Amino acid sequence: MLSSEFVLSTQGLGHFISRAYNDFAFDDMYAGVLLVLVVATVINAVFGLLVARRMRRAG
Amino acid sequence: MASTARTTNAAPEANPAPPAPTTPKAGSTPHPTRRSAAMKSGALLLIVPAVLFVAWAALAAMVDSLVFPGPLDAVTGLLSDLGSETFRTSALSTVRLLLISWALAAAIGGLLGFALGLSPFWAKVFQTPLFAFYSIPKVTLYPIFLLLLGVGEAGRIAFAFFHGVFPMALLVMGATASLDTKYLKLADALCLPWHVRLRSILLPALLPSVVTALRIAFGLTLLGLVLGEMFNSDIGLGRELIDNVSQVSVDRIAGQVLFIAGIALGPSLLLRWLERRTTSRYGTP
Repeated sequence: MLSSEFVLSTQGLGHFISRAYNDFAFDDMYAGVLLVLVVATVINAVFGLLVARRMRRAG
Repeated sequence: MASTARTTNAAPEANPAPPAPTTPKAGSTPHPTRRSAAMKSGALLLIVPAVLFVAWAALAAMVDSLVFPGPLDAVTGLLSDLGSETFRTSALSTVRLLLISWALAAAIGGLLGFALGLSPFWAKVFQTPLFAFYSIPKVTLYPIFLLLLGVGEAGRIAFAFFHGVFPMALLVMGATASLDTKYLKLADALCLPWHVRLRSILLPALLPSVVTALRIAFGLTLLGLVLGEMFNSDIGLGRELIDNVSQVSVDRIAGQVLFIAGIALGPSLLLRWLERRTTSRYGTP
């Protein structure tokens, strides 16, 4: 989804990062990248915890 | 030494692995059962694309729209592209960069995964960050690659490498960490030199997982390379695709998608075959 926002979109986080890069607004660009990294890491951690809990329950 | 080699060769056979398939002698005809199985799997391999092509042609005929070309239009567009020197240069550039990036991802990821997998402590330490890097959408980091490495081949190679190196490292690390330590202890007890350990213990144990990792890394490296070419490049199949999107040449877009799918599928199928072969010979990854 982020890839498509980079190339073929006028809104979204991917478009925000791409536009910030093209406008030399590097603060915004790094902020967008950081936001995506945080969101991805949190979602990954939540699913990791759910899997670990499920496995503990299953024994 | 002879008894040592015999003992180490026997160690992997202690596993209840399926018997190794015997290779036919030169000049002899293949076994009829195996030949028919190969023909059956070959026919199955052809059925899926044939069904997809027929469904695509039927859908294109039903929709009957300029923005939805059929397979024949796509093939015509691709043949027209292949007649152009620029397209051929782009295709060659993509294949060259793909091979470089994949080789780098395979070598560095494989060695990193192997080194980490040997120590349970370091495997545990690096597992979470490696998974985190694997799961983040790497496309968001592309502007950073461009800032650091510029709009040249280095940026595209690094971006493609970044897509392939993490799955490679993770899979090889997992395989090395789950290696049966009894074999390694046996090698220690017999004071085996490193090349004997590599040939008789490590390679047979890790090969199925390494081939799986190579196949997955290949697909992701190609994805990263085409994405990189789409965003900021003056050459390559991704660039050609974006040029045709802006010119609304849908038959050429469809033809190029077929071409890229061909580049992806050929080596992937070959690696899949190799994976099955190594798995049936050395056991499950």
